[in-house]
Amino acid sequence: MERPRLRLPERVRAGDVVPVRALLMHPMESGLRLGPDGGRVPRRIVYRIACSFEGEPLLVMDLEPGIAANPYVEFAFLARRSGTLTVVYTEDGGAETAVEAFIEVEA
Amino acid sequence: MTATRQPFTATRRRVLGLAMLATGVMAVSARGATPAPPRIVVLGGGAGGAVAARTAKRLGGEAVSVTLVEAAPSYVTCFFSNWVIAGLRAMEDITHGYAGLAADGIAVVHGRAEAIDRDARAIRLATGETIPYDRLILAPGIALRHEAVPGYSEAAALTMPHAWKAGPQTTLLRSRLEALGPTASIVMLVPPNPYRCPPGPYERAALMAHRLKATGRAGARLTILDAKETFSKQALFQEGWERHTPGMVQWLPPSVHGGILSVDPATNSVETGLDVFSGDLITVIPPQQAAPIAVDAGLADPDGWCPVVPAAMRSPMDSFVHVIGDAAKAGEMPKSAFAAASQGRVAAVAVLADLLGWPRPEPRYFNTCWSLIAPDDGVKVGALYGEKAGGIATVKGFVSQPGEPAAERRRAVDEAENWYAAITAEMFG
Repeated sequence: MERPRLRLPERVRAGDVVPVRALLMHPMESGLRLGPDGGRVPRRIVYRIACSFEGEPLLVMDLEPGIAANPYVEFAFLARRSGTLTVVYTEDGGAETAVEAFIEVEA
Repeated sequence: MTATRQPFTATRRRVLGLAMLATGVMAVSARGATPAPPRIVVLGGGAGGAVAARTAKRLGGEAVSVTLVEAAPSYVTCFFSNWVIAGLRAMEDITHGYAGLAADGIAVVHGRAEAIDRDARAIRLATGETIPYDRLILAPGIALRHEAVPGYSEAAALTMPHAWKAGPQTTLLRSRLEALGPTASIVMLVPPNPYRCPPGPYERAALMAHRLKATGRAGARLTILDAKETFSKQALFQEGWERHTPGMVQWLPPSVHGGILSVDPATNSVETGLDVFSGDLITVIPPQQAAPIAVDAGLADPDGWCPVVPAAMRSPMDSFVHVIGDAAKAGEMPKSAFAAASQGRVAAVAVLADLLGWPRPEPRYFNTCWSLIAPDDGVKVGALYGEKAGGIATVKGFVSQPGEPAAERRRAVDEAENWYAAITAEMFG
């Protein structure tokens, strides 16, 4: 899998709503498409995106074959303390790729 | 000079018949002492300008004097230059000279036009020479707004080629593509509307990916960072990229990449609102506007493009000037060579009507854009346009559909090649 891209503000104030944006370039092959030879192109999707903050789960998404290529996720959370945000992508077959970013929260 | 002002409808055949008749009349009267024929000056020798000049001379004959002003001694067509980048054509194949126009009796002046003196109705060349006109057909093309992309400049274009004006930039992008390794990454920046050749960037992506794959480099990746949320023939291109070069072309709209912030030629990278995208090759197609000569002459709107009156491509700012091709705001018509040539024919007929009192047919504009998704897989979009509610609007259009049979796609490639032969013959003889 390619390297995911993650963007969040470097520094916020405690209690701020933090926008998180994450992109993974991935074909999200649905398994329903016919290839040039007329045969089915095998399914290969990212079926889970798990996001944690300092090891504590923040968000888990289960993705279906209907999701388009290059899944892009945007969400927000409430920042109370500084720490590392980690996003883990899991694709069919169990392969994983992760990306993380540190955010500093000022009191 | 008397001009027929009343509305007139005629078939194309009848107009041509009248045109030939009028030419004959003028030839006879020329034996007596008659004033010099009215002067039509065409500025810019691309698809619009060359076709306008040749149409005016073919129909007007000795009754008019036609001058074409063009800085370059030969013309490299922007159309089909993606074929050159992908190695499907050579530069010589898309380079044409102006000898045919001179043979038609058109005065071809190879000089750089510096300004239009609208009060004196004359073009001033860089040499200081002036060329007076009774009617000016302005076909100056586009200017690339390098500065609209922070970090980009004419100098940066030597590192991050645009290849959006055919010539040395085309050669540069081709050689850069050839030099890439088997897992190279390419980033392409695509401008907001309007710009020259709407499907061009996506055809280029398809053909670059094709070239990489065909030369054992299927591990390369091309990422398009678009300024738009949707694009021309989108379903066809996205289906085609996946079919011919699976996984090689990625397209990201601004809602995902977060907008282009800047480019850095020193590190070969692009910063967006989301992240920094680096590449082994970055190609930047900058935003565009009408060429400076048209803007400086006060013929453009604040958006940088030249408005026109739809019936004749005449400038609403100056009734002695017609603006055609990429520089013009031609309503729903895209900026293409096909469209420019069509506008050139309409403008030439309108100018002859003004100067010689000839009939003034209702204008009809045409366009077709063919794009290659692979060397044997062509798609097209096109339309017939007419005057509607003060603008140029689509009367009837057509577009290729996803999932068409291979033979139909092959036929579109043949059409594109035939069109290239036809339009370059119409431009250059």
